Amino acid sequence: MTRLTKVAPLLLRGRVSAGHGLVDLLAIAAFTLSSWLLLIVLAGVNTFYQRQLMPPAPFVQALGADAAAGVTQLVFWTWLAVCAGVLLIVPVMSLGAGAARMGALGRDQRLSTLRLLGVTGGQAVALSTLETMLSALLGAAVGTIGYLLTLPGWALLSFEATPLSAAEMLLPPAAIAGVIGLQVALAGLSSVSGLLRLRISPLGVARRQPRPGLKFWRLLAVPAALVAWLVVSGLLSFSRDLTLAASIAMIALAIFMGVINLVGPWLLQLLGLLLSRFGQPSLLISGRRLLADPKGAWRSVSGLAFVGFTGAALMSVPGMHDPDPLTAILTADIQTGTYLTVAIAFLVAAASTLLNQASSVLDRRLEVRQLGNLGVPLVLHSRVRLVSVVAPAVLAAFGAGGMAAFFFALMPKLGTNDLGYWSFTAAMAVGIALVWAAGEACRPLVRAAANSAQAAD
Amino acid sequence: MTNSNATLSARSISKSFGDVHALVDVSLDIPAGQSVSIMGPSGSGKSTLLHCLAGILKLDHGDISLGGEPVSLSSDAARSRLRLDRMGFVFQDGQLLPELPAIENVALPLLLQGRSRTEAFTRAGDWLGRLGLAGLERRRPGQLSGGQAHRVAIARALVGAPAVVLADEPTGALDQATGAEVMRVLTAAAKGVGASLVVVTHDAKVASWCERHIEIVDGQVLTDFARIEAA
Repeated sequence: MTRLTKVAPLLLRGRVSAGHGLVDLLAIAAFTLSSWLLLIVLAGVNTFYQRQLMPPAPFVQALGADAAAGVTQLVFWTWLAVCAGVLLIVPVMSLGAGAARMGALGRDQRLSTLRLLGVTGGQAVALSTLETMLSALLGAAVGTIGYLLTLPGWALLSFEATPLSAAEMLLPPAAIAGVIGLQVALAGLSSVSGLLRLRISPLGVARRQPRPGLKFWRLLAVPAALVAWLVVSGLLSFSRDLTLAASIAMIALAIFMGVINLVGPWLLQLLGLLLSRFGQPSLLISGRRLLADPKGAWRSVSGLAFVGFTGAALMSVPGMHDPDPLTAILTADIQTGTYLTVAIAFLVAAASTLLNQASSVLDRRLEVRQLGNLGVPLVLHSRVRLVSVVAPAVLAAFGAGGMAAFFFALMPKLGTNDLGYWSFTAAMAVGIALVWAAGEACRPLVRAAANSAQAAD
Repeated sequence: MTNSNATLSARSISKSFGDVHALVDVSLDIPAGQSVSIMGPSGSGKSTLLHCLAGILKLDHGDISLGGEPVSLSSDAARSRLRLDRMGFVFQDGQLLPELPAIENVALPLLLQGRSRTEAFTRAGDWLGRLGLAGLERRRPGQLSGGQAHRVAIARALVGAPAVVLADEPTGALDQATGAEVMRVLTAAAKGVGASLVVVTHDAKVASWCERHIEIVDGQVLTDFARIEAA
């Protein structure tokens, strides 16, 4: 291992000078965003939990005579914060995992060379994983600094009739260290799992193992969830206990998230199959790319799916006329919380798309240039990117939204509230537009790849 | 050497990269159906010549035409279209799209030309069969051997019935036996459709498959001679 520690800095320097610096920079930026958001999500949940233990004075004052009963309901805010956290945690962690995979870009060939030089397979994997974990640590450190610097900004938001304070949003040092450790460990795991798909033989062959197609059984999760939902919605209808109802809703949400995560990639695979049946080259290529890695495409847009699901679910929660002070505060907080969750989910989806597309372009630099040599116009790459990015985003947002609308339509007593279908559609359109814009941000990279200097041999 | 039936014609072309004169006043004509090797040491300008002939690089001086149609003067979009419609390419590493099965890789140029899916796939399947790849149509590049992948690349280069096929170190990534097999298939297939073939290589064995040999040194044509067939 000491030999490896001598070699690692040389390889790192070589990687930067060989032009992989941009890849690593993007990966570190993604780790930064992922850590920052992870800290925010945890800090939010922690804040509501602390307020549940020690109700804030403005909240008690706002409730007046109902304060005693009101403070017992603060657990509901905690549950909602946990729900939002559950919604966000998967896409945020996926962003970190995506960054780890991106950091491994271009390493396969180098690992093959190292194998030829006598490095064992395990040592080769360890070298690459070490580099990725180093990037993750750097990103997590920058993300933590960002989190600490932006703490005072949370005072602009108010929950439970009380503005958030920097002190409330500051996690204990152990928790911050835990997040950094988790980020680094996750990056290491993602790197190892990505490298295990490469067969790094002593002959220097580094060929990617083909991924098996996703199986039809994933769809069975939908009828199973339907049955579970009918039971849960029945319990929710009869429950008068807000905490119990929140607990049941929380379990239902977790089940739905699981179902969406199971079915989403399979649907993207189906979409890829359908697109590849067309004779248009842009549809054919985007369809094949979706088919090649439906799970990867899903990771980029899963945040949109979760937001789509939640948005459509919230449409089904009826609004109230002349609410009591507690309900008024709760309604306002749900609205603020939804906006915040949606904004973070959109940010993560856009960042994931940018990362995936940039990674895809950098991985295919030679391919782009040589397709240009064949006479393939640059506009083809733009069209492929458009379809590859927007089609999964639309399917995720509206597919999950449609699923939520269907499930909630089965629940008695629920109609639609003021949010309405148009607001939902507009919000999803904004999310999809953000994802599209993130994809388009890679256009200069494609142009640079196509115009990269030809050898003057 | 001039030929009134020239398919690809270069007239006094020059190309520099900064202070490096990659090509200096090069003229040549490549008749229809002829196979030509371009050899030279590393840095001699042979790949630059190939890229100029294809219209990938813009010339500093001179003209290039393909069947009388200017290659060097038209816009980038027009040059791309010309390459798509009238030229075929074979690269050192095949460079197929990894997600597409062999048949779709071969059909791609035809689909880009606007041909129907049925026609494109029929012709692609036909070419794969001709090159001994029947039964492997649905395999992806990662599931093919190096030689098979190169044959798919050759099928892709020829499926659009190009006037000229340009090959840049087409066997560079292959062992000697597979390289020889690829050159046999490439020269025979190009001759079969009457396409000119221009092969850039530093390997004399690869060059020996061609009818004519051009040697470039310091951006200039040093020798240009045709192979003398044994009686």
